[in-house]
Amino acid sequence: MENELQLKEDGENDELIVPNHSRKRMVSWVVSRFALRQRKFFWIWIVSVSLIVFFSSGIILNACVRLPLFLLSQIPMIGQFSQKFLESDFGKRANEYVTFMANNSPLDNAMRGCIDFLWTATSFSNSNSVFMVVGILSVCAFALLLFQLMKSPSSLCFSKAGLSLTWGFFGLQRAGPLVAWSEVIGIRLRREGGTESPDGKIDIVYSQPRVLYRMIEPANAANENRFTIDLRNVDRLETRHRLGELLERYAPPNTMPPEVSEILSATASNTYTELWLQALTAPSKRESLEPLPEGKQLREGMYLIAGQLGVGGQGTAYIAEFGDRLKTGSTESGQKLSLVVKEFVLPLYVDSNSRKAALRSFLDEADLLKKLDHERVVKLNDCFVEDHRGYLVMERVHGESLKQIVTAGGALTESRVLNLLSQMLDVLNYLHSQKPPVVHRDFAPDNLILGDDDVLKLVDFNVAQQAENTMTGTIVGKQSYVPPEQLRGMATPASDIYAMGATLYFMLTGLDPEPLSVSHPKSVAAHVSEELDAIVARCTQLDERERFKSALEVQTALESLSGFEPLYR
Amino acid sequence: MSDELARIVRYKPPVLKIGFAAWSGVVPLLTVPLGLTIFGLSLWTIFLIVELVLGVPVLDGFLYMAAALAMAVSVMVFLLWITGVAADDQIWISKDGITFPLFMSPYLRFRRRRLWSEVERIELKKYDEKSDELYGDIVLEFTSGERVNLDMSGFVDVGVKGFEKGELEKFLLACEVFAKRDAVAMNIVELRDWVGNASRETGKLSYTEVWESELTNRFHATVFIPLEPDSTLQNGKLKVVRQLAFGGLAAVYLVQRDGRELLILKEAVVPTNQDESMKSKALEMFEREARFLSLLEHPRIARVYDYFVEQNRHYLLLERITGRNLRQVVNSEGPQAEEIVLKWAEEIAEILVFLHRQQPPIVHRDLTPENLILADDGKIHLIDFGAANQFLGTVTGTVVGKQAFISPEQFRGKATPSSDIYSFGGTLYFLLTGKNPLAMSVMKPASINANVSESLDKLVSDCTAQEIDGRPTSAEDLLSRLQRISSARTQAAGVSK
Repeated sequence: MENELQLKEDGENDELIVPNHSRKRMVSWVVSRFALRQRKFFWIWIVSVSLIVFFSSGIILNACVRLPLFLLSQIPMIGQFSQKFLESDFGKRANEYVTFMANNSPLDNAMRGCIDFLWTATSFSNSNSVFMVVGILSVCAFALLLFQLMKSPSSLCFSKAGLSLTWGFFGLQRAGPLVAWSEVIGIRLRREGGTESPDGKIDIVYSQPRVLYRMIEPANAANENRFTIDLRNVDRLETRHRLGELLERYAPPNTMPPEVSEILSATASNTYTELWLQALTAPSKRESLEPLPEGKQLREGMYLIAGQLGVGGQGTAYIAEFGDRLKTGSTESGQKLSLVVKEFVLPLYVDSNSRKAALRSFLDEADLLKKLDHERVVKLNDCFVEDHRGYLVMERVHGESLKQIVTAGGALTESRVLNLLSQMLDVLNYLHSQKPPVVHRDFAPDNLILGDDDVLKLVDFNVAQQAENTMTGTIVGKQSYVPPEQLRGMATPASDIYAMGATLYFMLTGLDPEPLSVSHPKSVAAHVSEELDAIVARCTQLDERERFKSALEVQTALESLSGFEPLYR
Repeated sequence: MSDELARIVRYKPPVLKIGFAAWSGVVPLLTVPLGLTIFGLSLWTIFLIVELVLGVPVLDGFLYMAAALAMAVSVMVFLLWITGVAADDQIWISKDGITFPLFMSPYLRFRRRRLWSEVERIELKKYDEKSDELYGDIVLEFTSGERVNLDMSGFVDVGVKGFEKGELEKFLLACEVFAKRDAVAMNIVELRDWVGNASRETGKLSYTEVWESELTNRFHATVFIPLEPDSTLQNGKLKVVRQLAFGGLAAVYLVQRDGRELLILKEAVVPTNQDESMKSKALEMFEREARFLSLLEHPRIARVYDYFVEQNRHYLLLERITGRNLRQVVNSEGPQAEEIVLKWAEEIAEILVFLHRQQPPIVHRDLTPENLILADDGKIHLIDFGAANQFLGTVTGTVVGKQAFISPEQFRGKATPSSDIYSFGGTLYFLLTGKNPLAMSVMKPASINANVSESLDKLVSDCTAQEIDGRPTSAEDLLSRLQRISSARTQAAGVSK
């Protein structure tokens, strides 16, 4: 069962036959299946090859020498020449052969002619006893070879009822006994090559032994009954996802370990380097020079562009939906999920190092987002490169950014701000408690979106992943929200605290704070309480040592204020 | 685009290619009689089995028959196997390793799958070492000692190559991406770019150029699609020769005007969803400044020839000055001696005097080592005004620029002539120490380079004062201070003699 995997869902007439993408199976069958992958069959390979060489010598001589000579002699031009050959030993035999063929009816002659052909070949070995021994041996070898071939099941079938192995030859399918899902007692992942590797083997352990399956699956130390799926053979992402889905759907509760789901749902990070290749080896020409039009399909129809959301300084954002290709995109009620697709145009007509660097920076953002899992951090669904543009597929937050809210509706009340502040502290706390801490570096009102459900979400981690050494780099930032040490290229979690303080000032006053200064919202907006004014001022100290050390510290300071309810404890 | 976890590159050495073509012709001739034989023998065997069952003593004949059948099948399988092995031309590449085609197994001691960590060296062995043309074998060496030659070019003249078009590029890229960093020889990278650019006459880079460190970081993801080499503007008057740098909303190109002179074209794209009033205000400011700049005539300031808008993209056409910029100079030659720095500083200050004397004064806003060129005439020339950055900054509500050289007041959005003096101080610091100044800080070059005289150190720290009041009052003031320092130096040198 090392080789193929088929997924079937019975009963729903929804059968997914996974195309077999393993390399030229029919051709390299004998070699790769019996010798190179499974070392223990190496001797069979050796024996069969030597037998073949031994026997074929006669045939090859006949086929390569006699037949061409005969064919040649049929051409009148070289008739004279061929006459001499016909007088030779080979020539005589060929002549006999031709005469024989000419004197018989087509079918009869074909059959007998072939036998005759072979017979003369085998007469190379004159000793009958040797011939017999070799004959017996070769029959045995072939029986063994055939048995090995037959023994290997061609697929593993998943159905509602359970799992079964299937043997298929020349279009005939024969399923083995069914192992019900209720019998499955455990699913395990045996990793191969590190935790980042997409390779490994999945063992599905079941309770009641099946004699037929026990014969095939070599026993392991624990003497378990199991099916083994070699993930190297499940080499299409789609199939992997389907496999993961089926396992999650049917496997008994508590049998599916998270790492199995993880390896099967591999997208962005596991295929990270694959994206490199994809991007770098795509044809060196852009297909389109225009922004994506509405209705454009991405990733072979997986996503459907529904419209442009906006063009920012770092990328273009589109609204998208799951396309028809992926049925899982629909929620239970069949309603389509809306997504945001962020597009980055990657360099093309430049040297490969620059292309790599640009791609890396794109993938780094994806990688960072992939690692973060918090209800107030925008979720990354997918990441891919198409037509030399990088795409990040993210959840769509329905709502408006704090910038939009304040620009449209003016400054917010203190109690409203305190509510939002508790959410900001929650997300900053999460980011800064990562190992190593994630510094967002662009914690500004534009990047905080308040959803319709009143949940504040942080988006746009484009700057966050940039390497520490940005000294020479060109800065692109909203100057009011950048603390001095970040300008010097030494951003720390306290830099986000500064940005948060500046954001508070903006919410309380409706004005961008003066860049590189300590903000006192009370000086502009009288309704702000002394305590909050002091907290904003301490957040926006120019010397990071004088600021609050962490989001948690801000929270402690806020607890004295009425109306503040901390989210993070 | 496929979802597979591996990439396939097709490769077949030219010799095998020719051999395989011949073999493909012969195989049918061999397999047709063989197939018939197998069919006949099978019938015969069944017949014999029946006889055996019926009690006819034909065991002898049966064994003969079985052996013959087995033999025929073996030969058939062997033929197919040979064909299969020869037909297999797929190199499988994944992020873990590389799997070579079957026919290469013997060269790899039957371990076709190799991890990238096992690849010790990948290089190009040219047929003719002296030739510029990159024809030859790609040699892969493994840690276990095997060596594989991939015959890349073969009989190029007759069109039989190891790799078909595009496949080679894929393969080389994969090597570059996955192999250990030091395993890939330079000529492989060179080959890849050569292959990649073979179809495009323009856009070629010389390799010394590509490998200069500061050049590798000039291209970033953009919001718009940059102009491609060979595309034209202004009804064909301007042709893009090469992309020089881009990222975000801006790009710089080398262009050719009327098929003759080479110029620099700066491009800025205005995002569509920004505040309209802000956009028009920024645009107005930019147009006004562009008009001013185009009137400037100074032998050591890059001329601004034109400003135009095409398809909502804004362009500034500038003079091209050849030479190395000061960052390149310092990167390759290290920090400069005070004497040279003083000479350059005077030249820069003269340019600043000229700019600030205009009515109204023109603030360069982007005085950095990158924008100062040591031209072929041995003098410092100023290129590239910060106007475009300023424009984009205003439109997007951000600040765009090299933060190490930006003065606090320019960062706050209120650039004055004194901001150029601050940037000038930062630039001197860089020239004297080879290090970027720390943003928003007073810099003292003598703290790093002890050879810097006290007076020059004082000048640099004055220029980089955080408040405008602490800096030299004007470019003229700056120039005269510089002249005093250098004349004091020459006098001191005279005395010591």
